[in-house]
This record gives sequence, structure tokens and C-alpha cells, in this order.
Amino acid sequence: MYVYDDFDEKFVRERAAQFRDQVERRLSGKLSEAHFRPLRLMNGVYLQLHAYMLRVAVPYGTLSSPQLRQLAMIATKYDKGYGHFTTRQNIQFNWPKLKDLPDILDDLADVGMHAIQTSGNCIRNVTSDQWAGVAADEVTDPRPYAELMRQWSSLHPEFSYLPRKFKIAITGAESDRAAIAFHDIGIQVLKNDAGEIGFAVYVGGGLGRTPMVGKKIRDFISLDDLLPYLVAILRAYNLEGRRDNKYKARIKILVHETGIDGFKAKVEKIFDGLEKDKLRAPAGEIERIQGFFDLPNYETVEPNPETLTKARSENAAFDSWVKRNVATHKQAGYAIANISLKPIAGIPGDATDEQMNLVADLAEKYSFGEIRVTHEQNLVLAHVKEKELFELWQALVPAGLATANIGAITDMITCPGLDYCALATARSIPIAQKISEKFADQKRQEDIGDLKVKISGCINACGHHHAGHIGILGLDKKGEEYYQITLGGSGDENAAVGEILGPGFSGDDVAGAIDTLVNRYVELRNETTETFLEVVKRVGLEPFKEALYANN
Amino acid sequence: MAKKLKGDQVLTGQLLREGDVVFLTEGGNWSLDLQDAKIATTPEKVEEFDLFIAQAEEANLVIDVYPFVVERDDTGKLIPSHIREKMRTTGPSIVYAEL
Repeated sequence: MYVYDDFDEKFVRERAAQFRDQVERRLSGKLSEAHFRPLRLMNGVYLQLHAYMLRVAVPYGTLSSPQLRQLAMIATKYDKGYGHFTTRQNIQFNWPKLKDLPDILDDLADVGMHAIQTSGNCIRNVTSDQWAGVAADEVTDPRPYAELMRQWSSLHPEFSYLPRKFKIAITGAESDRAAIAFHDIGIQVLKNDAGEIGFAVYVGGGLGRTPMVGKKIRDFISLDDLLPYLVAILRAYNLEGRRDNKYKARIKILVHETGIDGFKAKVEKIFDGLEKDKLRAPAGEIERIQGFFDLPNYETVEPNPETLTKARSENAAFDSWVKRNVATHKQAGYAIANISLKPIAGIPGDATDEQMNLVADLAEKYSFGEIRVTHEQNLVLAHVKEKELFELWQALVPAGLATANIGAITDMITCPGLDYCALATARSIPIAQKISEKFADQKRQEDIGDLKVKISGCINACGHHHAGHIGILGLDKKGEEYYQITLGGSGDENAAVGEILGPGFSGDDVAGAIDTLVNRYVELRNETTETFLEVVKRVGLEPFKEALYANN
Repeated sequence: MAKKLKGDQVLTGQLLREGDVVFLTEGGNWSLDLQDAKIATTPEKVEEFDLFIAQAEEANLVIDVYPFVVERDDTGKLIPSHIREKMRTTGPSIVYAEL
């Protein structure tokens, strides 16, 4: 894992001290709310529906055990004993007091963390594949490049006041687990025929009220040219992105209105004119960063050991968990253990302080002290010996962390919605809970197979509903909540925006509607291996519309 | 300026230091309980909220101050008319921070 150097440490401490001074001046009245608001937002502090909210950056979703313990401590000491993991691999605290926030930022700095650029019209936390470095289908670990971009984008003087927020995601694998097509810039790490590292670059993707799938702007940019090329894209956007209308200010609108060819021409022109040597990382920097991401010292252990096979045959619940939550690791004898934060009828993405402490301990015991946060609001222990999976699972069960549903219908991305969010138009969490209860039966979930349901409580789409195989969007109709359902979205390498099925449903009727859709899918599939998305592609929306609306 | 929304209105904001949701009372203080709220029943009374908004800013105690529409339920209790304000007044509708 990357560890702060003196420069990082000083920079974060200085920002915490500045924020302490700003809060003191605000509380004493020397700063007005109008002046203070942009300052607090630059430090991840929002004013939400019931309280302040602090969003803490988890760069590319990687945490150490001491960092997770510190987050648990903050939840205990300053909040209500829990935190919420977000779709950008960050964590949010829902109840901090303004007067405590300077102390919280100091506590974060103690473990090399901060909340800088988790809000505002700047380059946000760079996200990545939660299985980075260990995925069997990976070209190379994308995190060193994500870290390079973190360093480059932190307080970047040219890009701190963009027309709108700017999100970058990077993956090193063919299977896109980072939803790169729905980011302002999406990057896929590649190797060319000569074995050199380079990057396919996508631009103009995004969700929100105008969902767009990113378009490829470069097939292969060299490592040397990565930062200069990002500068060229951001400069083109900074110069020509709309500042007159916040709803049209994202780069996706500029790319859409200019056309990818026109936008690429602008970017390439800027790129050609750059003094690239001045924009590249210093010699040796990427190698220095890569040193922090060396894989741990794996032991030589027997793959698929007898003890694992035996435990699976003797314990059906453990077997379900291995099938659903454990993924193939690059290293023989090791596994990727995904920890679901979607207990049946629970709150998607929430973790209590006790759960965070337990996961931190288990990471130290079984996974080299490292934890990953996924954009689907779950956690990952990325380096677990297969022979220790049963022990790990036994420790997770009593803490409510062993739900066997990764990628299944109850593993829903869900935004905080109107239970917390000041922008929301409807609640999301209770909808997720009702759906989770409806599909609680493990056998039924396993029969349905992979099915991604994503729920947003407003058109801003923090719950990625456009990218859901089934998407649910909560809206306000004359002061009451109602929900639109979309079908056919996808956030992976075959990214697609879902289509609206028809008239919306009341909150009480959504889970039943999803049940109807799933039953229709089961009737329509040719064999049990034909996925929900494959069926939607084959038969279109009509059979699903008919099932939902035939009686109305 | 206070918006002239249809119906009876109360004035709400959030405490600067804590962030808690509060409501303006008849006595000009801020209460955590909606039932304590001063109710404006005429456009003129709603207009008077402007003064309290300015005072709140001046006093540096309450932020993000705005009025919203309320009604009474069958028991005579004040309730917000709109789902957003209902949620904001009652807190999250879910049980949180539990395993």
C-alpha cells in the first residue's frame, strides 16, 4: 500500500490546520456562511438533511487495518457508531458536528487520510478495480497509476475550479469492475505487442440526469504521455465546458455536443502544443510508487486444499458463501474474499464501528492487513489463503458480515436517498430493504443468478440506476414518492444505459414489481445459465412491460 | 425572502455548530421539536419570517433557514405537507447503526 512521504504528510497536516482556523472563524462569526460553505465543501463537509456529513477519501478504495480502525474510532467518538461506504469507494459519516470536524481531520491525518477533493468542482478521488493487483484477468495492477493521478490531481492549480466535478476511474482488467465507461475519464491499462504499458482512454461518460457511455478518445497512450494527455483533456474541458448551466456543465455534455471526433481534435491540438517534459512525472517516480504496490510475500500453499472441500461439503451456508463471495486469485492457493455489506433487509453500504474493527482485525490475520472498498458498497480481503477461508467465514458470521450475495439480486447499490440526502426526491434504502426481504431465500437468489439492481433517490443517480440490469429511480410526484423502473443497463465492459419500462410505482409496490420482472425473466430464459441481461437483449422490453402492466 | 407557499408555514433551519434541524418558536427561539413551531397563517405572517431569517444569519446560530408548509393530522399534531420535510423533521425512516 502507498504510504505518505513527508510531502504528503505536511500537505495534509497543513490543510487540517487551515480548516481548523476556518471553522473557528466561522463559529466566531468572522466568516459568513456564504464564505465558509465553499471552504467546508473543499474538505468534504456537506450540510445534509439532518446534520453535517463528512466524506472521507479512500484513494482507489484501498485501506490498511490501522486506517479502518481509525474510521471505526471516528464513528464511535464523533458519530453514531457507523459509517456508510459509497459508490466512489469512499466512506461517509452522517452525524458529525461542525465543532468536532477539525479534530476529525487531525485524526484522519494521523493515519494518512483526509477529505480533500471529496466534494466541489475538482478532480475527485480516483477509483479503481477492487481486485486490483490480484484479479486473475488483469494485465497489471492499475493502482500505481491511480496513485500517480492522485498526486498529480491533488490541489492542481489549473483544475481546482472546473465547470463541474470530475471523476476518473482506472482498471487493469478486461472485465470492468470499476465502471470506467460511466466516468468523466475512464482508463484501461493495456500492454502493447512490445510488452509496454499504455492506456486506452475513454471520455465523456457519466450518469445523472443525462446518462452517457464514455467514448474512446485514444486506443493507446504511453505511460510517459498519460499525465500530459489528461492535462490536454482537462484543459479542453476547462476552457469550453459550460459554466452557465450546472446541468450542462459536465464534460459528457461538451463531448456529446462537440462529437467525439471534434472533441478529440481539440484535445490533440492542445496535447501537441504542450511542453510534455514539464508535465510528466519525475524520472523514477512511477517506479517509486510501484514499490508500494508490490504484492505481499505469498506462501507456497496447496490450491483447493482438502480442508476447504471438506468444509464446503459439510456446511451448505459456507459453500454458498464461497460460490458467491469468493473470486479467483492470481496466486495459486489464495482467494479474493468479498465481504458483503448488504445483509438481508439491512442498509446497503453501512458498517458499524464494531464491524469495521472486526474487518480490520481479520485483514491483519488473513490478508496482509489490507482492505478494499468496492464501488458496489462492499469490502474485500484480497489475499486470503484458501485453507483459511472457512475460519474467516466463521468469524464473519456472528458479525452479520457473511451474507452470500455478491453480484446477486440482494447486493444492490443504493444511494442514501431521502433518509439522509438534502438533494433526494425519494427514499432509496427502504426500497432496497423490501426487495432484499422479498428475495431473501438463498436458493431463489442462486437460481436467479447474477442480477444487478441499483437504486437512486433522485435524478443525480448516485445509486447508478441507469447502469442497473434493473434500475430504480425515486421521484417526487406532488409531494409523494414514486419510482420509475428501467431495464437493460450495465456498468461493466458492455456498458449500457437502461430504458424506462413505463409508468412508475408507489414505494409499497416496487418490490412486487421487481418480483414480477424476475419471475418473467425466469419464464423467458432458455436455460438457467442465460442471464437476466442476456434475456433482456434477446427479447427486448415488451415481455417485461406486458408482465408489469398487463392488468392496468 | 420567504416564499409565499400555499398553506400554513413554519420556519426551519439547522444549528451552525451541531447541524441539528430546528424550528422557529413563538418566542423567537429555535426548538428541536416541530410542535413548538411558530405558525404563519397569512401571507403577511409569512413575510415576517424574513426578519427572522436575517436575525438568524446575524446571530450566527442557525443556517440554511427557509419556510415550509405544514398541516395538522387527525390528532391535531403539526406535520409537514411534503415528504421531504416529513423526512427531515422525523429523521431517517430506517433503523441504523445496528448489526
